[in-house]
Amino acid sequence: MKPKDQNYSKSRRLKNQIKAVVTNPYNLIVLIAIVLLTYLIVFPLLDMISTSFTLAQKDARLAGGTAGSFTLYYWQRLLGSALTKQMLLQPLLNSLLIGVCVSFFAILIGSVLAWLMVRTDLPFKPFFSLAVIIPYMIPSWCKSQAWLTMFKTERIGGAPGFLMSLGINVPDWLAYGPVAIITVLSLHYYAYAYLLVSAALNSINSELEEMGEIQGAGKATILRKITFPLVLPAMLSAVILTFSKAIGTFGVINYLGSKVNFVTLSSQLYMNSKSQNTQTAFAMALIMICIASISVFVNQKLIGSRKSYATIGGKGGRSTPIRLGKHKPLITAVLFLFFVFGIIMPIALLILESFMLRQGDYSLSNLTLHYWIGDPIATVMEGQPGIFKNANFINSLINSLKLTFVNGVFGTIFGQIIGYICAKGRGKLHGKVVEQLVFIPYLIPSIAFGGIFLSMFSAPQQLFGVTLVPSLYGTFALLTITSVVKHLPFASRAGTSNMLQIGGELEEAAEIAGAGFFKRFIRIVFPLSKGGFISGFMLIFVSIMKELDLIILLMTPKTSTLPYLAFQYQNSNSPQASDCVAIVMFSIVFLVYALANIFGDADLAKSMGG
Amino acid sequence: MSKIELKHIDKFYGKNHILKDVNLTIEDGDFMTLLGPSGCGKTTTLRVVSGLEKPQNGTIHMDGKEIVNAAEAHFAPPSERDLNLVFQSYALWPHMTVRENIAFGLNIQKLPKDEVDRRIKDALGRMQIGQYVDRYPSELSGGQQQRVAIARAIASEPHLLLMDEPLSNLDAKLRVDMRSELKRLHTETGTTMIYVTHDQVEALTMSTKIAIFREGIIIQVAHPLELYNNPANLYVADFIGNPRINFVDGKAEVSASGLTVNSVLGRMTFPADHLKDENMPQEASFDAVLGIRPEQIAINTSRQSPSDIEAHIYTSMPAGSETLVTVKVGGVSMVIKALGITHYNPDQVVYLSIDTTKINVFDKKTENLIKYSVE
Amino acid sequence: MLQHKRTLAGILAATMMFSLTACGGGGATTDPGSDAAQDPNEAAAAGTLQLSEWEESSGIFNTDETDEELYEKAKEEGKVTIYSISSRITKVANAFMEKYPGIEVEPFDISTNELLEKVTREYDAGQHVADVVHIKDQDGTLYNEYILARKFYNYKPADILSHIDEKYTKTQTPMYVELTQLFYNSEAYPDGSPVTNIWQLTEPEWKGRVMMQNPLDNLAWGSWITGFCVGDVPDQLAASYKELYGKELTLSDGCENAGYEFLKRLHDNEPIFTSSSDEIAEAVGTKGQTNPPVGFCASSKLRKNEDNNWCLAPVNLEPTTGIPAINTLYVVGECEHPNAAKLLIRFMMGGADGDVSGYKYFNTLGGWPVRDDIEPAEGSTPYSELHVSDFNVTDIYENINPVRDFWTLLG
Repeated sequence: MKPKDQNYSKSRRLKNQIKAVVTNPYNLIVLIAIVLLTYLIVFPLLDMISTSFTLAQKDARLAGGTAGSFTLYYWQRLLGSALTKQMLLQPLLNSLLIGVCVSFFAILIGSVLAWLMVRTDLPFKPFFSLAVIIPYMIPSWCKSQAWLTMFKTERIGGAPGFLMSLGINVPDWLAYGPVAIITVLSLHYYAYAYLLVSAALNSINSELEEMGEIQGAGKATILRKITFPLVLPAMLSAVILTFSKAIGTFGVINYLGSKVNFVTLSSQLYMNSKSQNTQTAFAMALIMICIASISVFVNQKLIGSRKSYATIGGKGGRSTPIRLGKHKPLITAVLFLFFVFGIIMPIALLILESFMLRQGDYSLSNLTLHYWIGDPIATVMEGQPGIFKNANFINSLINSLKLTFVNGVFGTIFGQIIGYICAKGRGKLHGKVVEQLVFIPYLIPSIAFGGIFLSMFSAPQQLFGVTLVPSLYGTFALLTITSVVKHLPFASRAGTSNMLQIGGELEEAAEIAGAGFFKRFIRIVFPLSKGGFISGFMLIFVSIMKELDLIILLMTPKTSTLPYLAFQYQNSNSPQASDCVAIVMFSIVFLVYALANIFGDADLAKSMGG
Repeated sequence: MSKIELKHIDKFYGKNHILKDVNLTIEDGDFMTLLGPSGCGKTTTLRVVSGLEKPQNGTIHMDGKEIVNAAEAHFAPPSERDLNLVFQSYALWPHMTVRENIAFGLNIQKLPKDEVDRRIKDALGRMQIGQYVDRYPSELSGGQQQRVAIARAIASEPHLLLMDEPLSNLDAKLRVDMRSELKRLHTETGTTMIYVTHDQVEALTMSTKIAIFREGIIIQVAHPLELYNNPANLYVADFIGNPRINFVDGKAEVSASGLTVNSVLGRMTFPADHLKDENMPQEASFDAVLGIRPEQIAINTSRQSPSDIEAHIYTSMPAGSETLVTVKVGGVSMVIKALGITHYNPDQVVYLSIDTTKINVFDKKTENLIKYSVE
Repeated sequence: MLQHKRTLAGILAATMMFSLTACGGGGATTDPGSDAAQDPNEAAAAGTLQLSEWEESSGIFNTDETDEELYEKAKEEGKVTIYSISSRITKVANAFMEKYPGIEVEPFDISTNELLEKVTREYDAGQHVADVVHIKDQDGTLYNEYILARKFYNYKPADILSHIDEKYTKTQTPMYVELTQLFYNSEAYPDGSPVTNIWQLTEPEWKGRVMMQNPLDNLAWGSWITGFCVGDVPDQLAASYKELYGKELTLSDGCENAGYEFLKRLHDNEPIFTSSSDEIAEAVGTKGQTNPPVGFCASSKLRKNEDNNWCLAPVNLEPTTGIPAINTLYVVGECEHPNAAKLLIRFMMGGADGDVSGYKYFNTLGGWPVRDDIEPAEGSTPYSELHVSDFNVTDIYENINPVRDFWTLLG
């Protein structure tokens, strides 16, 4: 069986093996990716781990020992003390509750919307497909604010809520706490599911569904038995994103939860971080990283056992919309209502407030354009002019645009490459390693992440006396590296589900034709994944546009950005000006999205033959 | 020149042993068909040859040049093997026009522009789809896409053309057309081809050689006729031929003069020089299976010779140029292919005459062929 | 699988080694022997301090330089960077540049946590960007971990400090003081505050009607509740209880003193937590309410009364309204523009020449100057009349975490 006549040479085997690994760019890219990710992700992680085992000076007396020495104090406090229930268990349960419920509802809403938008003959599609993505562009605090404006009860004083002023008694459980948080977050995060699922749906050949119809299956059966399993990988990707986003968020939880003392792990983490209990905060972050790793692992098990659904075949696809029939008016009406309450209201509120000279005064005489284009008045906003007459604003605008575009593009490219590795390496060790690695940055608190990177790159990075990376302090490169790495989880998620949609044979055909790795990537994989690429870009673009905590540490006094400016205005008691900046941010994001949608679609329609 | 030799190829997917010590030689100019049911390893063999898969054991030589030596981890990349592949799904790049699809590989070879244009024109002309050169794949019908896929493969003028069930997605009429098209392509270009299919008619009509696969093992490699006439074992006999071969159990006895088989068909004797000695069991008496092709039986309404066998008509199905008749002989049913339209009534008594030189005999235990069919 | 576990164990072990060595190294640089607990300013004045090169060249411990001398030196440095927790810093910077042309001020407005993280990381990495830091030493961390470790420096110009009570200048270079005060709705309670004694907040009448931020939310609130449990404040609380109810306060299980007891009872009365001071100010101060809550929030919110048409009114609580939050200026060690930094600090502290162009932005309603020669903003209650506890950096620093844990355990 094992023929001995075969000429065999160990040295030649080794040589060939090395050559095969080295000359295959895919291997090199995987190698580089793993090395880079290890360096950029594992290092910060180790830093966090070691910090959580290091006694801080202020706890030295209490815990016994000297500052800087090794300690189990923080972990013991968290895991095995009288405080465990309050500090860890209750928040953990709350986190899971929020994570699971938000994932469920967000995926449900997102997938249904995606299906309606992509697969059915819904009217006003162009309008809806733009509107549907808006919630993601509105900061979530803005939505919480709108929620309170609507449902606020007497419990927290101040001006009455809208419903209360109509004489409707709103129960506290609806106004604050888990129900409110889950609703607001679901409305915020369904965008992930929408983007990923609609990309997947777009690439499914509708013949698959029509086949089901011919077999005599009803619409519901087709949806359940054919469409649903095909988009399942995309949905699972969305679950991971949503779940970790939901357990990682603290703004909304702080805003709507604190009134009824509802805390989660993330809000505890944030509180500890704000109270400079860095060690405890890091320990909590590590626990959250573990939870998310488990969920990624489960996800891998789920997708891995199903192989991949290569849905872009070489045969081109047709898409025939499914008729909604007599349900059409009803569904359209429900969607309109959804958009009015979920989308238009928060924005209208924001816009209205930006025109109000004084907060909370809804009379006509109070309306003004001052915060937009006004000249300085000493009594308003401490004498600052409206934003469009403010040099600071223009400067921040330029910085923000530069930052978001550069980082968006870089982030998307890296995300897609890593997504490619994850998709190709699915089920293999390197794929799993990369997929796990790339997810970690999301769960490292922004501020810690920014801080660790600042330390890492402030001095030149050397290896054996050779300078690998010069000192990047204060450079744009550092901002880029940090935000690209921090946003990799999303970029690569989008990339993975995108790449999973491309049939392997299309690439093999090119390999046969003699195309090398890069040529295949550029000529075949990239053009085919353009739709997903654009979605991925939007995903990153929007979150970098809103990013504050992460980059504030890395900014120098001269490179301020729009979120920073909004934060500054909010701080200096000018919420209206802050609203103006938020509206500008939103408009930019919206504009870019609309452009990407129009041009992205046009291109896709041409190349994919509708 | 393009002779391919696969030696001792083993391929595993995880713990699944897909190819088990595959040895296959494809001579220059062969139209080699890999035939077998799905999951038998024929596509994997094709992919191993193409370089898309790396076997764990074995070597492959192409024109004497080693392109795979698993022991030394030497695997020449697909592009260095001077071959092309037509995928079952066609794998046309949906974002490129027909022209771009074909030009892609040619441009990678850095052919001059006019040469690329010439080849595109030639390939499309040969496949008779020159008018679609600027369309996108999604704007073509399935048959047209198929032609584009083949045109793309032949445009690179490979020495070896691999085809993975290329016709399985076409309708019956198109399939027949494409069959002759491919056969003509083979004769015109003289390119060595390896063709994967599970359709025996495709295999029998087009190939110069067929390799039968079963669960990762090559059972028989032979010319189509040889395969039909002398299947190596019951499995091949059963797989090849439509309508299927008739099997009749019997008791065999070996003597110096040859082989005698007693069955419901009576006593049949086969001369020693028609026997395949290496497969012959040691025992003097053993269970055997007669393999009789439906066209090897003649059917008459009256007894023509004393050796004729009496049978009862079960059904009769006229099919234009021929009639398929099912008869019962002592509880065994047999299918007979009779030329022309004849009509029989159910339960009518008929007489069968069988040319014993042409039929096959198999050892029931080993399932191997022990008696050749002789013209 | 076993292989994996071994690898993991290896990584963990490596991590710990790493952390131990890292800390060993860190300790050596930040812990200059027996000097550790010694106040650098006092030691320098006594001449017992071994000066570092930068301390020598910057003259950071000098107390007698004049504005003119510093201006001359500062002009050579050309610029100064300040990180500040106040958005008003931009205006202060402009005022400074107007008064001292030739010195460019780069102000950076950033919140407390980020500021400290940023400046610490930069300092440790040897990037000396910030020269001056404007921040509050909320829990004594800055004194205990920065001043004593000689990362930050208190610059103490004698001429200005002579106008400031010594209790403020011992551990910091103060600018002005803010408070966390109780506010009520003066429209709903035209006859004055419904609450005057702090213990009233623990009565059933105010159950669910006291607003505050969760003390676990951030350092400012954490140190504020700690203030009730340290020094002589618990005794004042106990006395005040007796005065109000005519009986001795009985301490519950786990409550060390009257301060803890107060926190427990306050917590049991289900205060409403919000995520910002602004929300509290709005909730309490909005006109037209029939049953408005009372709430603790930053005294500076008083400034927004007019802008927002609120009717917030502060309560001068018995026996104390808590500890003050002192806005402080530090010079960052090893910084490149020490003289410009000193000049800027003098300017921001109100100078010695009576020019308050740098100070006036901070001297507003809800903030009180620490200097005896500068009047508080019009309409302010004089600081001396307010019931404010003393801020002792050591007490707060050592007790904030036990108090936070105590609060956490309350649920």
